[in-house]
Amino acid sequence: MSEVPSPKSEGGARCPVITGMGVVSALGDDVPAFWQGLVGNRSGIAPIDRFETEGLRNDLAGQVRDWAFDPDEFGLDEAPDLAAQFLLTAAAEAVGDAGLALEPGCVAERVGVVGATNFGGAPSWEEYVAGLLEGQAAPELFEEFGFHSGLEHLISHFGLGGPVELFSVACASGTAAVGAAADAIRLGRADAMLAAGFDALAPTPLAGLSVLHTITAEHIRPFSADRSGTIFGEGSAVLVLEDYEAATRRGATIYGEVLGWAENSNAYHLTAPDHEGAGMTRVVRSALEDAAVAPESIDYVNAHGTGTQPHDPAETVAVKAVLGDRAYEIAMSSIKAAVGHMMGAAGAAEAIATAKTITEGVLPPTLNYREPDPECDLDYVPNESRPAQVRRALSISAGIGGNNACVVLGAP
Amino acid sequence: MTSSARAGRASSPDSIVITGLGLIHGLGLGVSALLEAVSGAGGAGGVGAGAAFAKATADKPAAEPVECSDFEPEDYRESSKTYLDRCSDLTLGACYLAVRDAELSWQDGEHPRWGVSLGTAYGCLESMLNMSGRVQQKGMRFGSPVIFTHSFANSPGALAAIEYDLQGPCMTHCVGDLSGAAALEYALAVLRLGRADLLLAGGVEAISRPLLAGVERDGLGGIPAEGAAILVLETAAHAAARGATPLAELAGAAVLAGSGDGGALARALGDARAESAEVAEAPVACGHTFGAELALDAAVCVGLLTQGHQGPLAAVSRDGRAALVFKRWDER
Repeated sequence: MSEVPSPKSEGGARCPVITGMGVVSALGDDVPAFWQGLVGNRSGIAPIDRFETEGLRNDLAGQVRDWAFDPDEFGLDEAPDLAAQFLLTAAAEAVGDAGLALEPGCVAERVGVVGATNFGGAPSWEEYVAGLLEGQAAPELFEEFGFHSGLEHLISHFGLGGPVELFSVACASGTAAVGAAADAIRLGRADAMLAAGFDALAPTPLAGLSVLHTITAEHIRPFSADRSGTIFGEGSAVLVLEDYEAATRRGATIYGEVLGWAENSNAYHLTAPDHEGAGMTRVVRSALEDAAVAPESIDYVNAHGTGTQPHDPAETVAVKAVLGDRAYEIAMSSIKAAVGHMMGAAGAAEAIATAKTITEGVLPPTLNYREPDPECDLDYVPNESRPAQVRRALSISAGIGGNNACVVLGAP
Repeated sequence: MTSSARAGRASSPDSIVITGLGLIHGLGLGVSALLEAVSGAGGAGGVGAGAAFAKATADKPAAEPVECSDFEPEDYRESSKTYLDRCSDLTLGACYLAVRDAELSWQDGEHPRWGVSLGTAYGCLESMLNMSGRVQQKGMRFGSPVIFTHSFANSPGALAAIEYDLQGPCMTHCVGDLSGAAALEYALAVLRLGRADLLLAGGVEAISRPLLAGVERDGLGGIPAEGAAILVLETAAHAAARGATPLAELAGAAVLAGSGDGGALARALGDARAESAEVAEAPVACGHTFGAELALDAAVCVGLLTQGHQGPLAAVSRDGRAALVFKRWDER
């Protein structure tokens, strides 16, 4: 493993570091539950009990269970859309973890947010459509559905005044949010940024993913030869990023550094991956170049690893193409069999899992792995977590539409 | 790249210029129709606060949403399609016009350093309604995989990337009415950071039943409308290398969560190293185009600068949270 001199020591450049994290997922309502579930080899995937699933290929999902939300805690008269509830809760954990003093009514002009979502307020959309089809459209539901509505709740509650952005590039959104938030720090546009992914399960997206056969009829098995599709999940994941020097001065805990990132398009097809994973290969290579990190310095890959037949070998090809022999020396795992594919929240949750991997020295497993696939011939940490020293890692995401994103994280 | 190079990584000093415009709006196609409406109504839109409706709206009842009725999607596509959401129709149409306006030779192979940055407040709502309607009324099995795929907010941008083989950065921004500005700000940053040489960037919004039934019209600042504005943004060096003539420079941008302390305009002026800028906007006759709004305003800025306005000019959101600053491009 080669050592790359820390850029923190060079010429006053701003270095984005992670100082706070928050997660709401099928494994629980906070980061400890999320992480302990992952390294405890547990899965939060179970039958959906929030709405009817008749007609879906599978009633399994990474649903957030036993959910409770108090609007008073966030200064709201009533509960917002469920996706926004997840977002606010995860953000509160992250901001508290970072020790940032943010509050409504006090605009923090140097604190901003990059959000990420596939479907916005999807539960509100379902209600809105039901009313619309009956000739009774409810504008308040349309507003809660809006992609940016959850973000506006977050901005209002935490008094944010800095840069704002919301990405919707399908399942690549969350990873892109982490990278763009890091850019805002690096370019001096903000002193702190939230990278916030959020999405909630709802009938229409699941119906669509079911008829596309993206969803498996049995269990999600990333990289296993008998894989047959993915299982979706929901929740939110929020990271607080700050400049290293500022974070150090105020004594913040630093979980890791965002060394670089990239996003791109396969420019090939809306749903099918391109041949030989060329788009993912380019994005991984671009991310390493942006980070100025050599491929041989990577110690772990947190994979997109959806468990679909076409995706997993394409991602394996991409990783091997960029890392070369190093790909066979390190581990690459997918957490999607533990929490489901969290859609717009996935990339941010996986960045948190990757940061925890670095700081805790434990590789989360790829659950439900059964059969080796000659096309997927790397070490996927099958079924059980294990210790490992990880100083630099990649997290990769890809989405419908052909969007890809990759972020490079490093030890603090 | 060495770590010292990375530590010194900062925005390139190269200017970011606009070399083409592709516009579809309620007054027709292209920037000329917008500028004619501006000049014909003595200040409705254009520079300064909008006031009277442009005379082009004399025949339009004020209460009707503004549709892009001059636009036939099939006439503005590089390839045939079996299904497209209206949002994608407008996006590909505006890209078609922009690519030609910029005289961009895209057919000659793959473009790993060209990309897309598109803003839309609500995306493909008609397809979303179609999908949800089928699911709710007939059952989960009856959703259409084609319509579902085209209902994603990123499908218009993705289709543009596929159409023109744009393998570089590809982003969709959904920040409500700030979306078009967010897309242009992102493109500016990507180009300055050297991650791409050229992006098709702008905003789009389509009229749809869910939008018209759900949006609160009070406080919109205009009649709900659809439209698309795509700007071809590239580094000045890239434009020079291919012999393109810049129309103007995108000199600064800011999109903020709050509007205090001078708002986004102050931030964008700082970014542009400009002391002040007059605000320009699309004619009121275009209606309120949500995610396309600020991109259309941006196109008006560019159009006025090419007509000889001294600049700088700025496109600013009504809530003060987003601003784009444009300068004349003088040959260096």
